Amino acid sequence: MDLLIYSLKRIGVSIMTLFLVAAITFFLMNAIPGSPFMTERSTPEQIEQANIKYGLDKPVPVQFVNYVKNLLHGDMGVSLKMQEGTDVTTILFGQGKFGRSIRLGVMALLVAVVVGIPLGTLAAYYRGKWIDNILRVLTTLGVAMPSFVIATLMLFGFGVHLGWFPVQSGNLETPITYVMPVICLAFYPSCYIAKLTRTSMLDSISQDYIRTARAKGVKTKVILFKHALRNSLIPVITYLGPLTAGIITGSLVVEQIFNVPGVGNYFVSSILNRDYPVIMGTTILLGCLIIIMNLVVDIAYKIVDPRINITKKGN
Amino acid sequence: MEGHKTIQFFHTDADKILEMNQMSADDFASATPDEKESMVQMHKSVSYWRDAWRRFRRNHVSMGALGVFILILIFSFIGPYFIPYSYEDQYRSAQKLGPMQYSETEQLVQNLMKEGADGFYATSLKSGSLTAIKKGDWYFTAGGETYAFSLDKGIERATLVFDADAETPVYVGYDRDYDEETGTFAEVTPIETTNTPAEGAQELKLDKSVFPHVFGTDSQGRDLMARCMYGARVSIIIGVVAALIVLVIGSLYGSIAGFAGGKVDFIMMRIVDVIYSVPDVLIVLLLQVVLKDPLQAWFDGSSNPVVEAMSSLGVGIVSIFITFALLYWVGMSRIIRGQVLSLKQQEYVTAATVLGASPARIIRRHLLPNCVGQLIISTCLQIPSAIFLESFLSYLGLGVSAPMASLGSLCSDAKETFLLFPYRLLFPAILLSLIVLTLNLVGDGLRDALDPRLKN
Repeated sequence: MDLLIYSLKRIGVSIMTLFLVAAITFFLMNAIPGSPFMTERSTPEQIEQANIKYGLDKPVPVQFVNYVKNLLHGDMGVSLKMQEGTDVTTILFGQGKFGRSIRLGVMALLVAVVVGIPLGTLAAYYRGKWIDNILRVLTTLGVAMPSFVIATLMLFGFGVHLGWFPVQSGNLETPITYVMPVICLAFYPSCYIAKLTRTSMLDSISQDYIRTARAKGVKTKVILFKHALRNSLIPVITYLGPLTAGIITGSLVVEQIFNVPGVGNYFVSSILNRDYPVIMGTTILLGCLIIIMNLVVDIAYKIVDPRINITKKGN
Repeated sequence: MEGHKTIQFFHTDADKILEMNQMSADDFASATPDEKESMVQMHKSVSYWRDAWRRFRRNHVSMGALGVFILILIFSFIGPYFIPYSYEDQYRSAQKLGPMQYSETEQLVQNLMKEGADGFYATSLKSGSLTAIKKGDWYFTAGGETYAFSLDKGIERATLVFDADAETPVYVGYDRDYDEETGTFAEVTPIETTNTPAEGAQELKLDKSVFPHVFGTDSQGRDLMARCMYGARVSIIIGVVAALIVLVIGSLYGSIAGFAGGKVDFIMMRIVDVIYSVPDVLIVLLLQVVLKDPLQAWFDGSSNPVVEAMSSLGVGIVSIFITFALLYWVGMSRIIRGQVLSLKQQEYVTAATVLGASPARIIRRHLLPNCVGQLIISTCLQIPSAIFLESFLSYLGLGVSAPMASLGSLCSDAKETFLLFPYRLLFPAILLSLIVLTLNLVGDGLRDALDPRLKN
């Protein structure tokens, strides 16, 4: 029952956030002075015609209601500059951009979890030994390096210098083109997850149930991997929400560097080109992804660890 | 009956009490100076800060990080005074140099100095694309003597050499006449000098040596080390200011919510929840686009000194600050609210309330000073994240705009030519990573030192 109430509450907040994101995006875009059709060559009549055609002559609140209505029907408007006249929905979904980005993102997420958790466990297991020290230096370095530095270094090292992987990943047609973008996207999160796992492993090792298991004579390895690891994964689950946001942020840079025509790459170009409907559509799409992921993670968190009473107010 | 007994007890005479406790009347004599001195505390009581500093000092990693960070601060804030290059000046003939490489002119004057020249003024080594010694009267002093001369026409792409032992101590050699094999000029133009400068003569500063381009130069002949110093300065200042904005808004919001409690707290925290789940980087990018024109118009239209100061920062940086003020304070406000919630139960808060202190005064004088550890930790950890965000935006071509440079925009400038000149990206990238790394480590150390309960 608690879970149901909590979920409903969380869904409520999420819907509000989604609405807020859409509203912020829309009104900010409309706050820009001048018409998006204004170019050096266009005459006032042309601008007016274009405004009427795209419904920009109506008052802003009416436009907003129309936009939300269209959005609910899956219509995000029409690109004004980059692919003039094409539906934003077609650009994002029809040309495989979303698919490419999702494939990269999901793989990076998996790699981050698959690499991060064992490294963190290893560091906690060998606490204070050289493995722990090396891993600590590596992970601390990893969270201090911006993704564009890592991406450029990898591009130079493995792409140009050693020639192991193609420099441009393009449409991601062969598996080998995935390697470098995925590693770059997963680098920061796997370091962060490793740090997180280590901390929470050490935390759960000092718990009473571990002492009980030890007193029962359970083997150290079983204690570590069965009793301690399972419980220490809970903070890692909560990180999956911010992790999604981080991977999306990273994809803006990484897709650009490896020349992958995905959503992130297109988003950056649309910002630099000021193609407003595309910026709005992409912001709302990526925002939805992050918000939904946060929602799923929060509810999963509650299901996984029933000890946590999130509905209770305050601490 | 109990009461009666007590009264009786106090009525027994003093001698009996002394006897009962086996004390003599001497015990009540006042203490001698010696005795007083022995009672004085030998150690000062250890204050919170002293204790925290002691804990921090023991943390070798954080101390090392602090040392490195201070070195970076010295490099970026004091360093520019020690190098002759400026971040925006383009040095002719010094384009596309690698680290520690010398341009042809620099090579030339170094050879001249080796040959025994005592000073030089090379027009090609000065900043700007067309520098010359203009026509007119000039003088310089060397070895206690004054050398004055006048030029009927300007000298360009040439080096004015001073050699006290030569027949004509001052002569001009043109770059085109320089022979690399022999290391001398094929032809030089001697210049007549007098000891008394003419009326209104300008002083010429001779150089004695060439300062190397430690990090090399970029395609426009700008010294990369000077640019890195400048970029690091901009990045650090952006980080600190953004963190201070977050500190002010977050701590006020959090303490008000925590202190008010009840419905106010509930509503304020739901607002925080919503802002917390807004995808920040997307909104930041959006704001960067949207704020550009209105901000520019505002800057151009206003003559207010504050606005002018902001406009000198540029639109990109101001919109970074605005986004921090709008979105990034929520984490800080949650932490402070939690602290205030527990602190407001303390007796001194009750006492202050009873004495009639206003809520504003209680928050200002009692609650926030007691959260100071938390405030410092969160602010310190906010700085690297702000620097990170700024570099990310600048790398994408938003954020800091030319002629200003930050470490992120330096990396962005270098990305096109990365394959040819990798060091142009490496130097700012290493500096950026070092700043973020050391600040993170210092922040961790501060957390362990100021709030030992949090230590894992």
